[in-house]
Amino acid sequence: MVEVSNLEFSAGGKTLCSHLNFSLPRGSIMAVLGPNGRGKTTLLRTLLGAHRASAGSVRFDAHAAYVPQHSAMIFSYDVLTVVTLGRARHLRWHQSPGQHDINVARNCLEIFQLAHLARQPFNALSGGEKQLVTIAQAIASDSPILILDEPASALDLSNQNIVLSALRRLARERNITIIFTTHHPQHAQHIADYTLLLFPHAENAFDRTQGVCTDAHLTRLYGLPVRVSSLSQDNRRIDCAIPVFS
Amino acid sequence: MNVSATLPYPVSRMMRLRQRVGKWRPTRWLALGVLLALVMLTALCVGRYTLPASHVSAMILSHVMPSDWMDLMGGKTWTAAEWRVVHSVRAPRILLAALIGAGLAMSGAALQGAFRNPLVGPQILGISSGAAFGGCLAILMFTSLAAILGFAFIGGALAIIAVYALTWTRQRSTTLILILAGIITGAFFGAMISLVTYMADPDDTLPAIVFWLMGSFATASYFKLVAILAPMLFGMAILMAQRFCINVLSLGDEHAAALGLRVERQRWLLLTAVTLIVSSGVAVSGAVGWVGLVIPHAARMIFGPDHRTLLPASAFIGAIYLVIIDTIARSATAAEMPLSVITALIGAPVFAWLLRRAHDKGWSHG
Repeated sequence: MVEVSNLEFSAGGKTLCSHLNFSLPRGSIMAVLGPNGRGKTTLLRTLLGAHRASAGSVRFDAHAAYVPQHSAMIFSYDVLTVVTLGRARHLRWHQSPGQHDINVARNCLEIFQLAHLARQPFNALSGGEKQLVTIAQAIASDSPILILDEPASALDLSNQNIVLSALRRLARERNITIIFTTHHPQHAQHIADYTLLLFPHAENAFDRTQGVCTDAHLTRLYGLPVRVSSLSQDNRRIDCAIPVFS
Repeated sequence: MNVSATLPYPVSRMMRLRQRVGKWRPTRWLALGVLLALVMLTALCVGRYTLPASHVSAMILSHVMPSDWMDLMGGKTWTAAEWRVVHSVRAPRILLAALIGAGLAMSGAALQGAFRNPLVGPQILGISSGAAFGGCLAILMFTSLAAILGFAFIGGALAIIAVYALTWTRQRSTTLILILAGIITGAFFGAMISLVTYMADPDDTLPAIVFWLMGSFATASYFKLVAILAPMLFGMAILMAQRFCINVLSLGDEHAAALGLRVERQRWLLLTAVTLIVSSGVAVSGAVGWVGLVIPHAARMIFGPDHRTLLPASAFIGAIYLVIIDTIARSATAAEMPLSVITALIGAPVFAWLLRRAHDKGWSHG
């Protein structure tokens, strides 16, 4: 469970967001939408406690795991080692991961069918695989809350699909609460139960995704006309947001 | 701007090398140990007075084997002079070189991991300069080894605190700021060293300071070995205990903190351990440069980047390297060459090559 009340945060002397209120039940997914510089990443850092809030409070019922945006590593450890790093929370400073931790890490790789990559160097993976391995690392920490910074930003369409489907499965099957930021309204429409919009002048809107992702809201959010439309494919209703570029 | 460096050598080549090494994975520590023993044995034989390997090995065996066994092997084959050369002159020197080489290389590997930068080392971060300044001051004012050791440690600690204070900003510390902070600190303590040498007595303390600064094991003794054994091993033990922590730290502060690591505390612990190691090294042998920078790269190319294996592998390779360098220093020319001259002659081109490779790749994540 995540509960945020009356939160206000700023960066560089500018208030990015104020009077932010939302609460997420366990196993739900929230997307955060907003243009560059509106404070999406700062919001995540504030939730994690890495950035000081100027007012308000954040309450988690358990510790949260974080998946940063840039997953390239300076030292190219093998994939299994990268995932076992997620076990750090459960180890004392002088301990190295034992057999149990390695088993947990292997299971997390299994979730994404990546067990065959266990001994590959991380930096030799494709962008999509890297993102999945970093998510596996976060899951290895056994955190019931998962916070991701633009998990699908640098990925092609099919890899976006893989990552989004993985997130939805984690929420449904493991009851993990997920918060992620994205530049694509359609990612929110696809998997998010709730969506938070970061408007200009530190205003915001939070509601169920369908209710909040409207023409008027998205147009105001991005500063250009956006039309929400839906089409049906295989008896599924698919919502999509179409920007009207000038 | 992203100025973090990637590893400057291609992943594929590293993989191939590692696969080859991986085949003797269970025995690799044994192999490194045997190699170190062979290098140390050779070093005992080589020098102004070349000794036959059979005599030297017999002398070593005589310490562990019962005397009647020795008689079976031909008894005492060595002369009293040979015994003195091996035991009083070469053995303490070689042991000291091995210990300091291991410590410096392990420190370098740990620093590179914790600061997410393959181009930092004890030298670049100014710890050596700080410790060297402390040592010079101690030589100027006192003569006891304990004073030199204590002052070297305080100097090293001051240097690392200065670097840390300079890199501590609101944002993540970048490679550039780190290296600049190290250069500033190193330059400052360099100036302080000049001041001390300027004030030193040219007949007495000045030569001592100058020769000590260039780094040498010529004055090695068992007393020095014993004096630094405890701080050295203690520092190395802390680093070894942190080997997995360093893997986590290498993800960057925020990511590591999000994974539940207490970043600040671990980094200070690591820096304290490194300062302990580098300062004890500087106290007995002066500033031996480049070992901590170059050796971790060699170890990483062979054993991979995982600090759980990289730290001990760096220690072994560092020990082997410094014993070889010291043997060259005392036997290549009639007069003894300063260690730092040789390590720099080898280290500078290697470092330049690494920088070049990193630069060609655009200083970005690969």
